[in-house]
Amino acid sequence: MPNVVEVEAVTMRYGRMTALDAATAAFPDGAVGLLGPNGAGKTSLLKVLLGFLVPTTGSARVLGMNVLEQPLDVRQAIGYMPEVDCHIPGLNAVELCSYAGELCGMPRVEAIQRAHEALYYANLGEARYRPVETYSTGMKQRVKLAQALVHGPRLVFLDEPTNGLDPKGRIEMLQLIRDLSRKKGVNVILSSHLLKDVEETCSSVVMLAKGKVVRQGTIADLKKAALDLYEVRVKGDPDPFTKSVTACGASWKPMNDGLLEVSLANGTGSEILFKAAAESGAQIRHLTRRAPTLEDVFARAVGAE
Amino acid sequence: MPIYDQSYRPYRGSFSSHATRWLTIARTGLIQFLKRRPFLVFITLTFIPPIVCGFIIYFAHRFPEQTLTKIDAEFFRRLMEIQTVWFLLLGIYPGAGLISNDLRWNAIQLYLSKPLTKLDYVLGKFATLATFLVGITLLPGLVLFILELSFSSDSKFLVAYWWIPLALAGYAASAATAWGLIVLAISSLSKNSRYVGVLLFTLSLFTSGFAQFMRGVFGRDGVIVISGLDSLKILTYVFFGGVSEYGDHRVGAVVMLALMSVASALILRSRVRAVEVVT
Repeated sequence: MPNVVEVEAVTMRYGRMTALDAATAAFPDGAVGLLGPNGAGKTSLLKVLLGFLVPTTGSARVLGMNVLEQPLDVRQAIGYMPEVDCHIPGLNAVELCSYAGELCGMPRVEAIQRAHEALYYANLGEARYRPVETYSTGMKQRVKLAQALVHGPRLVFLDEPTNGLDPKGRIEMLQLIRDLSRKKGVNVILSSHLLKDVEETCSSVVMLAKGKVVRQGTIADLKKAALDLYEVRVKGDPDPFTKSVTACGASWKPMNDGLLEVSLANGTGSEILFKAAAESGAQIRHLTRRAPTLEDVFARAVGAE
Repeated sequence: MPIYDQSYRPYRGSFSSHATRWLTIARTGLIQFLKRRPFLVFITLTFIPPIVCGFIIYFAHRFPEQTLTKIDAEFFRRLMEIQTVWFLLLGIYPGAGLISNDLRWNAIQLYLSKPLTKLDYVLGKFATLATFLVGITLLPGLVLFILELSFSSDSKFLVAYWWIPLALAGYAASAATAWGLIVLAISSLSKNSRYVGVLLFTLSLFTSGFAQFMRGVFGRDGVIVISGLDSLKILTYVFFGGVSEYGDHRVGAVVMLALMSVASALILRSRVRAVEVVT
């Protein structure tokens, strides 16, 4: 299956500030997380993909279409759920969603029917007849999702969809996103700084830091390849051991109960730990290999950058 | 199948041509305003002068010996001049909120995330306002022209003034274009429609007052064209003939309205965007 989005050396500058720095990434089909700390360039990248911003250099293709040459065709084929609180004043949710459908070129009757479906799918129920101004933050998020889905897009960009949601609302939103990508066949690009949200919904990630793509691939592969993490406990003073570990090119950080988390550089094995113990005269009392989390991968990637 | 049983499914239907998407914005805008009772009351008020003119036409034919005024091109020009007064009020409500409310609620981003261009968006908003502006000028003008024709016992009026419908259409289109662009541009300057309304009202009164002041001080009538609303009144003479009380400043008024329209278009170009970029 070809990639749904391809970004080639995209640089985006606002005056002197560089939001995207020669970012190159490929987003496969399914659900892909666009991860990065605040200010990493996630929203800028989405806006380049939507054709809102013209990149200083580079090119991007969405569903095989060049964003710079066919911005309207791109926006016809995708849905966008913005990060910011937004709605069209004076409309209730049904009117807003059917209006969104009509703006995409759907016939009025079809747009109204689809609006009901999308809102019902987004769990808005009878509240869909109320003016959007009166909605809570969670309900507004659902309306934003529904209006992005109303015209049946093949790909949706969700920009921080769980922002402002309570725990229950967050779980429901993540369930919807999972359902969309796994059961409804809609490709999803989920932009978030919440690693847990991405880990729960996406199979692949693209990580951004300071405008650069620092990691990309399936979450499983990234976890496998990125780190060798060990939990180590030594007898007595750990200082000589940690100095030896550092000298061997590994990094460590203290954990609870006198445990040390040691991350080894790629390609090195656990024998380094025994070597460090031998050099420092420490006795290893506990050694467990730990499966890295997405947070570990992300911290390493962002830290390296 | 009931809607609530259908859940979400892919859309397999057709999409209309991109060329007509702006009409959706215009239609929705019109429906939104026409649903509001205060607006309906207001728009009804704008038809009082044409109704009075209708009675004048009726009485002119019913009691020809007591004619109040002659039904000629000047009669229709005056009607347009009177109706232009409503332009300011229509600019304040509903014009002021057309873009500023969208700015306030970040709706422009929603619009432009759909397959729409900035031009589609502005055209849709413009068409909403222009429909009302044309509706209170061209529509009553044409109705009164037909009324006059229907009361006429011969073809003298038609032979002499066959061009009046064209003049009405020309004036309505020109005035609605210029004023519509000016109002939209001012509406795009703030996220608060009340500020926009106050700004529009103040600017209109200030430029008009300033023009009168300059006239008084320097004795030059031409400065009157710096006022948008006064220029619109002078524009009636372009289409219906005659010379205003200020003298013949038709060229000046046309040039000023054209400049204001271009400036408004440039403001709209820079203010209507999906992304606020702060460098």
